[in-house]
Amino acid sequence: MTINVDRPCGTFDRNYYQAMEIFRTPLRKFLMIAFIVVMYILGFIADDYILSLLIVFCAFSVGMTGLQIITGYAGQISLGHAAFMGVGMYTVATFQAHLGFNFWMALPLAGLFPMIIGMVFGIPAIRIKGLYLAFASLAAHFVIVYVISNWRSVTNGTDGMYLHRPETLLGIDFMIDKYYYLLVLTITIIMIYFAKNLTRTRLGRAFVAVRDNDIAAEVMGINIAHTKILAFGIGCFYAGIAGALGGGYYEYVNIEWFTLTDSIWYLGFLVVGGLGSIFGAIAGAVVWKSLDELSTLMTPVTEALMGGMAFYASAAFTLIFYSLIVIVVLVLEPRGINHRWQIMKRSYRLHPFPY
Amino acid sequence: MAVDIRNVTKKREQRYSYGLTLLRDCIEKDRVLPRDEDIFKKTILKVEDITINFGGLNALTDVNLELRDGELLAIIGPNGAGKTTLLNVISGFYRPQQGDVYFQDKKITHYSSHRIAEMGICRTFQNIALYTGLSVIDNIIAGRHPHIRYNFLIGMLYFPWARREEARQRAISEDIVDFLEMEHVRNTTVGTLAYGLRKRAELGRALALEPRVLLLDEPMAGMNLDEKEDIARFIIDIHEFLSIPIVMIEHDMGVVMDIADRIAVLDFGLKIGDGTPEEIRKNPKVVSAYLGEE
Repeated sequence: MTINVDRPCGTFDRNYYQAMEIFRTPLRKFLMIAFIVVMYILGFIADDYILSLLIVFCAFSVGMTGLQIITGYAGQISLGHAAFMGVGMYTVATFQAHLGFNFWMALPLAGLFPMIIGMVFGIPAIRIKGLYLAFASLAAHFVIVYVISNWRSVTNGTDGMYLHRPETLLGIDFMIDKYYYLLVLTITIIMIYFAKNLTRTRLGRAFVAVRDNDIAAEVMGINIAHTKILAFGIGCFYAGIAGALGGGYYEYVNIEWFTLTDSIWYLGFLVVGGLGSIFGAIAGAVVWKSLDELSTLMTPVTEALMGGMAFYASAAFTLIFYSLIVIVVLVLEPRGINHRWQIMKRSYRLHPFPY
Repeated sequence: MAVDIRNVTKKREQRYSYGLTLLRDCIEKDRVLPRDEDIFKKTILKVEDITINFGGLNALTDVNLELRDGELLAIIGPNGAGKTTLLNVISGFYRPQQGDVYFQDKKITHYSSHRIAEMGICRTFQNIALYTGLSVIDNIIAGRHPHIRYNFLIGMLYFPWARREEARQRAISEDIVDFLEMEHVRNTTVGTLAYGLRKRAELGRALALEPRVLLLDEPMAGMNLDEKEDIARFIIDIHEFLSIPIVMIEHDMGVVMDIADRIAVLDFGLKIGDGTPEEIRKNPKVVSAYLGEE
């Protein structure tokens, strides 16, 4: 008999509502709330440097959750995710620059625009899968980058555009990084909660069904075309929101930020985080952006060792760190950080016994 | 050792309840035909002159088949006879070059697979085709997909009615889990289950779709005696309690002869026999093609 260890010992579900909860035990609920509270408090006590990191973590967690929905849950490889993030940023920037929208009005559009474009580029997924689909989704990246860099009258070409953070709301001035972080954090928590709900309800199960066995899914009454396109749509919605949040922080957007390598690293760090779980997406995003920061911090250290050469070497650090961590994770834990985390939780629950 | 139908009957008698009442209520609610003796005369699924060939291979040639309501029809035949192809045509995988499939007098030949499933033609596969990443209960709830009544936005926001609907679907699914005696593996990922249990979970997923017709592709293949007896018991229970017609492909002649109401025999894409188990046993064509001389 297989013993189920995904639940803590001694916890029983007394009704179906209890069985469907995200956090089943009081301890887990408490820890989650404590974590969120700590994240909010961090906004008040952290300095600008830490805040710049936290905002990027939040924005990329949302973007990574979007890719998790497309690739981790629905099983469709997308190699254009960074470009959709760019569409989100440019949507905010263009609507602000040309139509005078404020940030609040532009934010939903920053989700909806990439969503529509993502659904269009998701259409090939109905017919092709796997590696072929990856190549088809490359088209999304090139088309988007080409349009943005050549439609000069609207997007200002390769010069980039300025965008503005939201105006004050309820007397809170979002021009101060501290408050902007709280806004980003709130939106991130809401988006991740929605993603979690999505994955445990009807469409989320359909996504996994399509990923695991699309032939069976079709015969079990799931409309595959519909499901795949929705997966692309929702995933790109998340990417767009992530772009808007990140772009709002820098108050500037440039097409150079969304290179093909970014799209590929998106996928790479999704694997590092672990496919098929929201936690994995967040872990992947945090590891990715931490490595980014680490490689920047390494430069002064290497300068002491290598002198002037460090300037050239530092450019390579990012790539070296990225590649190293992806290779190490693929070799040691192909199912990502999330799986390792599950194993840790499991051993904690069974503590005195090995299994 | 063959399956002894007496063991199956004994086990069925020991069982105090079916536990499928919720599912039965769902099916009864929109049953077109009244539940009385007459239903056995009504054709529910009809396959007419189906011809399909792959390249030069004639998989099926002019196959006619009728399934009457409340009937357990077994399809037998040697390997490569076209049995699975026939099921694939019914469930909309293959488009026949000629001929039509009718379900409740409606032509469904050119319907897409998921629409056919929504109408209530549910099937299991010869090679298990479960959603390996989901737990048993989630697989069964995933099977209820067409019957869940909220859209993805409501699910994302998780409104109270979405929550209530989820709980309702879960209740029906837990019923199926109980019926199939899989309570102990309810939350286990199906990828890690033993073969027999996976086969059972697949039967559960097909049941979750509220079948009006259940197509079973070798439900007992590769099982030991105990597991075969269990599956035979479940099939009889489903057939009697839900009173839905079942089409079953099976190689275990003992089981087929014991539980089937009617048997159709395929050989090289041709139907060579159709009748009660007694008639099939005496049919010389069937004996020479499949059953063999005593």
